[in-house]
Amino acid sequence: MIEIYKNHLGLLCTRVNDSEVRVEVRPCFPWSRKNNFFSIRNEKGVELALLSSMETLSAEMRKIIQEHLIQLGFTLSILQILKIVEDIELRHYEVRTPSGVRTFQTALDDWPKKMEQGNFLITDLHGDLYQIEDFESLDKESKKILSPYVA
Amino acid sequence: MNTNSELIQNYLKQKSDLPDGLNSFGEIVGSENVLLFSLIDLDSSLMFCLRWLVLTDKRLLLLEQKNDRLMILQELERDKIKKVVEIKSLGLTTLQFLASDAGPFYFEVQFTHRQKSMMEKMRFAIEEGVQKIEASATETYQTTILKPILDARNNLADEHKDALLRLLHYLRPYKKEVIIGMTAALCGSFISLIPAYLSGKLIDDVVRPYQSHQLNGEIASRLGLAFVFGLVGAYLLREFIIWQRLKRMSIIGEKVASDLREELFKHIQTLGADFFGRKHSGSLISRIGSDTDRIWDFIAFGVVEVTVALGTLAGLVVVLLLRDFKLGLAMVIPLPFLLYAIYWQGERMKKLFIRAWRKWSVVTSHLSDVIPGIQVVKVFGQESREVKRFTQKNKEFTEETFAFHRTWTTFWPLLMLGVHSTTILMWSLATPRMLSPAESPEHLTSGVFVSFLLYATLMVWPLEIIGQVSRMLNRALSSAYRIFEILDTRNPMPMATATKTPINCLGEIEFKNVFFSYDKLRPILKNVNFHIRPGEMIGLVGTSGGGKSTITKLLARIYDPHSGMIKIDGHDLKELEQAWLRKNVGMVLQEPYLFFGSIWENIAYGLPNANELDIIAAAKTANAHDFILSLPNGYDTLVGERGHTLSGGERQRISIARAVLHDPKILILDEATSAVDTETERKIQDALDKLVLNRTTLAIAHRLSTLRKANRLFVIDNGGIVETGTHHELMSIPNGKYAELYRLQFELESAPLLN
Repeated sequence: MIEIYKNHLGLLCTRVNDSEVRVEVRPCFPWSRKNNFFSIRNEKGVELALLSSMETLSAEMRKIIQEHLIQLGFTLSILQILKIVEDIELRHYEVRTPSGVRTFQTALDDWPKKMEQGNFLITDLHGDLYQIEDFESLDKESKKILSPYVA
Repeated sequence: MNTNSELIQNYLKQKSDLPDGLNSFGEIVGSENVLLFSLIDLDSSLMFCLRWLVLTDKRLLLLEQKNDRLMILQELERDKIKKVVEIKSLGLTTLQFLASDAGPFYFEVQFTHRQKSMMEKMRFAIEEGVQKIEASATETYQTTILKPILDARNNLADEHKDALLRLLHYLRPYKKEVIIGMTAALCGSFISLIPAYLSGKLIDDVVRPYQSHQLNGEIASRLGLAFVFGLVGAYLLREFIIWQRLKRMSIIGEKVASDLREELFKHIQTLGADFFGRKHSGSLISRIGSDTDRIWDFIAFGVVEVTVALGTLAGLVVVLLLRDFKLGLAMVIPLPFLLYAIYWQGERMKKLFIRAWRKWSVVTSHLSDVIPGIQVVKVFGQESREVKRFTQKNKEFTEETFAFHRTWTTFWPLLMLGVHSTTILMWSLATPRMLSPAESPEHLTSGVFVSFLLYATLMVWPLEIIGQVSRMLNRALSSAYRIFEILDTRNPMPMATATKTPINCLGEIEFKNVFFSYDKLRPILKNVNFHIRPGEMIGLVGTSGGGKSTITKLLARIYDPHSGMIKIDGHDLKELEQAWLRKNVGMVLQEPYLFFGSIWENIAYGLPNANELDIIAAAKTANAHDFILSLPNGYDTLVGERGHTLSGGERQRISIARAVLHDPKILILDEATSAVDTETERKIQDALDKLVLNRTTLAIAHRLSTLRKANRLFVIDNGGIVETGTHHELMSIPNGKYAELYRLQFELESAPLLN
């Protein structure tokens, strides 16, 4: 069983042949099965272990990995739609997220993608991801603005 | 403020530069040179923040900008940072700065993907110890941040009115015709008002006086006939003018569209490789085709119809108010409300249109996904599943169109009801006045009233057109933007015009201290030096990304080196005329492209006047003659996208024949034998062996065995030539790069297929 811990620098590590190796955790299915299947890899990207579930891990290890996964799975969540403007070749969005107000652009023929879980995902031209967890929970005005793009 | 700066602020609402005018900033950086900087837009609690990571020639600084003050959060001497670790997340990236694996851990920064490209450049500069960068830090930051948006749309700076003015500028050569066409359009709209006026006059001045015996039958008949002739004249004149307008404007529209198509196609020929890497050929074809078509539609009909509609409406308002002010007012007052209703409907339809468009794009993307992969669908027996998926998507789109049609089909009868309400209002106001005594000042003649009724029918069409102005204008502007986007793109490496054309090309090549980078930061070629004698065959070998293809691209002058010089026969490449270069430097590419046309036309592409014997001789040299003659139509076989299907090896041999006929003194072979089977490779190799005779050849090959006839091999690694020599010389270097590559390939090729 692989042991993952944070070293004195606060970095995720494991021990291979008695020496400390920095590791990273890559979720295999970051959207569809976000709580299962994680690849533990060294800095060169070589897989050291594949975890099918975190259930088998010790409570301490599970906590460390879960903390790490929160950061790995971070996306900007849309709380409110302030504006959507159609432009030549571009669509401008102005939205409120828990991190603050953000303005971004998508290509005109790029639409919010409905995920298996029912949430919507918008990818802007820079590759940033914006999630709408639950369309119905948005305020009335946001729903009105967003409706043509998701309904 | 420069344009890039404005664009970043307007589009991304992000700071476009380090804060200037802050005294503290000068104190922070002092005499150091700022090489690069990037915005750090997330703090440790993943909230948006305004921090700057600044790399100078001495230090790395993390600054926070708050209330016009800059605070240093972290500062490090550059030589202390030995390790930069990147942690990729779905929506952010973390960079950790360390002295070594064992620490100390200095600090980490987190940022969204928007800042990632810039941060990658900073990371590279830190890790490689870059001390000098050609471009200014601000320029690098702004161009890097804007790149994805500019790739999506080139000319962000254009205002709507600029695009419209530019579009109208294309009418200038046809000024006289435009004036005639527009005058005809306006005259036509005013003449349209005459029949209603004449009808009213006929009733008031002929019919009613005759009925009340004020006019005798003969005079009334004559006058009636005169009015009828007047009406005939008005209608004839109107239709004649409309004919003139339609004829002239539609031809002008075609001429403008043709001018734009020609200008676009001509301009596309001047653009560089990076542009074609960015834009799909389908998108370029639609700009030349459907976008210019929309512009024709706008000029031929849009501009004119709007003018006619505005003219008619203005004329109606004036005539109605002049004929009877009170009744006219009753008809004019509802107009703004009707216009607003049309505008409101337009906005509603826009939303429905977006929904239908989105669902339609799902249908088309399914088609473009499945149809090219139909073989896979059949092999895996998934036909019924694909039909089911398509049916579902098609159904969703069709339902959306129902909503679309429901809305407009409901709206127009309602609008008509609004127009008819005006008529009813008119009746209600007019009836008591018509029934009032003739001598009463309020009395309304039935002729005037009939005119009003006819004017009411004229009102619907201009309202409809004005309601479509915004959609029409947006469509035309969007097409204009897409066309101007291409026309405004400039080749980053414009070719000099006044250049040398030496009489002969011997094929001597020299690279002298050549440096090249695609992004002006990460060097792809670092001080490359070599000399190739005329007629030599050089094999370029090395791992992917080492710089082999870049060397050939510089030699073909697809790009220019950033520093250093490339010479052919002692002449700087930049001084040689482009046509001369294309004649003397030929390329056989990995993916041969055949145009739609006959085989002989494809072989003779570079030399359209070549005679039949030369074409056949070239095909023979390329080992293509025999397979061509095995086709029923021989050299007349149509190939290309819509023609006969040829195998990869056959296409490659035609492209070699094309190169043989072109007869360049310098030949570049870029992986010409990859992706074909061994037998085909042998045939191609045999053709290439004949092709390289008496030419200077630079060959890139994945399979090292194909370079066995090379006079020398250059081993390219990490942007430089690390080994040169013959196969035997290179194999004898202990721990040599080439020997290693050869060993790996030999092991791979001799390995059993299955373990």
